[in-house]
Amino acid sequence: MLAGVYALLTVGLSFIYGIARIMQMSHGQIYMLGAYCTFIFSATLGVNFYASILLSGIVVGLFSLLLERGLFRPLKAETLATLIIGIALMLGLEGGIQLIFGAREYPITNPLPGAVTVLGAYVPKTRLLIVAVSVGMISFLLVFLKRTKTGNAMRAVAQNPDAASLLGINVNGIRLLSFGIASGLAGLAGGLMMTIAPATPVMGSNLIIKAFLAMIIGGMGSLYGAILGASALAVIDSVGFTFIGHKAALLGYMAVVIILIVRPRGLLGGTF
Amino acid sequence: MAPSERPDHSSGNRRAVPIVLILFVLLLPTWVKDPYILHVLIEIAYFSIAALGVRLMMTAGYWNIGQAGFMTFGGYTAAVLVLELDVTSLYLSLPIATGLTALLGCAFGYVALRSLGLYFAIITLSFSLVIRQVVVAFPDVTGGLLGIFDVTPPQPLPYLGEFGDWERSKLYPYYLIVVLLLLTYLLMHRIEHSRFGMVLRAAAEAETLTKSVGISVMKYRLIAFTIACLLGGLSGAYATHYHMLIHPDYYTLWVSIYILVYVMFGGIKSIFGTILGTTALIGAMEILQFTMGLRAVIYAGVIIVVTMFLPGGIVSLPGTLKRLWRG
Repeated sequence: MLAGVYALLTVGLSFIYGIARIMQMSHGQIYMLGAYCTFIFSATLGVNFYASILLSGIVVGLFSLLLERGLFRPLKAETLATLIIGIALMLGLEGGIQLIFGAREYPITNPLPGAVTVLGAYVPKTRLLIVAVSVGMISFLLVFLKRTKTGNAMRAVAQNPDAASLLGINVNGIRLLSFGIASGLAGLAGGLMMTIAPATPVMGSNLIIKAFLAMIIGGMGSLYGAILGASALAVIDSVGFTFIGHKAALLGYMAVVIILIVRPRGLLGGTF
Repeated sequence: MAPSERPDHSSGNRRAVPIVLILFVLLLPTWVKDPYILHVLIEIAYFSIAALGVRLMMTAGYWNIGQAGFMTFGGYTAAVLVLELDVTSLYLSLPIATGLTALLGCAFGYVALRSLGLYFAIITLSFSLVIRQVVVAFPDVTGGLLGIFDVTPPQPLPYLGEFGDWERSKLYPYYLIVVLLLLTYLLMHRIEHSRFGMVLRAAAEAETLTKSVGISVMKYRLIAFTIACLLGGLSGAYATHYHMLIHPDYYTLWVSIYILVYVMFGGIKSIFGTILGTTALIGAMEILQFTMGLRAVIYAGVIIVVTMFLPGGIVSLPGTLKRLWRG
């Protein structure tokens, strides 16, 4: 279940990096925006909770298109400048939300109370929802990449943007679209998170480090790697927490160090 | 007057400016007595030292996102020296802490510099996180999550007053850090205009070519990284003595990132630019205190605007304005 949220974020991060070559530092804040959007839709506007989650994914995705077009596109990808802009966005978005909503936590909304027994363990239904949605969306994404024309175009841009543009692919458009899709997924993840944890302005920064670690473990710019890395990290975190408690966070970092020494490209690095 | 008729002030101006600035900085405390302002200036100064270390690696083409980790290490070493080993003289604890940090940097760099630029950034980032965890994991030595308070101040100097005297005298710490910053600046300047600096820049642009001339690029980079970590440790150790406390979350990952932003904001090409960038951003952070919540948004906005429109950092502003004027 934790892996689900990690995976949605990490896949998004990998997606953006693989296609648009942008290290989206503020991806965690996009996720956080999704959570707040869900809150606004469901609690303030009274929209059905599931619809709110979906809607916030879309809204956040559209908002991110503005970000890409206005801020990231003018800078050539892969330079220090995109990193700085991402950092500035982190600060700005977090500060902005804090300004509007304050630092208090926004409550959990649980549309599926109760638990289900799976293999002898009690699993809350909300966690199942998260797993289902994550698996569903990521599978959909993978199929989309393999089977559709746009998906193929995206893979082409990830492999070699210049060759792709020679083939007549609108590289800028593809970059824009991938940014939007990845951010939409992050927004969705934020909304999903509202079922098990309260929304705070800092939820993004807390989680994005995990996503970065997962991306490194799995391999930068590789989607399967992102999934693998996120799952591995989730397992390490959960198992570690059960046995060692809070120091378990150190295990994740140690895993990254080991990966960097043994196989710096990451477990599945190199292929999109 | 047409451009060709205007007198050429360029070289004369350029030589006078640094001397005037240095005099200004040295004489500042004679009329600015407000301890708060001096406090901010001191913070700017020691962050500048750390930032200059990061900048050195940037000229070599490596992004060091872990400077905060080295600051933490230097700081804790200094604190432990004072408290556990009764080293009360600043002139002993600073060099030792700095030296140990440099050694750590050397060892760390030996492993880390083998990776490509992006992975180096990630490794340094992980390092700073690991340092924090290590500090927390050994509370007997480091005070764990509580940090170390009451780091006893070093011996006072006559006239300049005591180091730990928060309200009344900031003169001693101020002059100390100004001298350290000047020395760092001179070091950076010497490196920049020396063969060492040239090799670093060459290796950053065309590594294989540089190696083919028989230069051991790794050696140069390692020395540069050791210097960068040395500066980080110095900065952290000084700060511990100045604040008389250290805490594992004092130099977070954010701080490393901020330092990177300071360097980029000020302009990577110029040493003075880094100091200017640090001054501008830390100053902006302080000034913006009064805008309460809006502060983060304005701060972010400023960074975004400068990054988009002044890729050379704010130090390139006069040049850009001049070009725009001439049309």
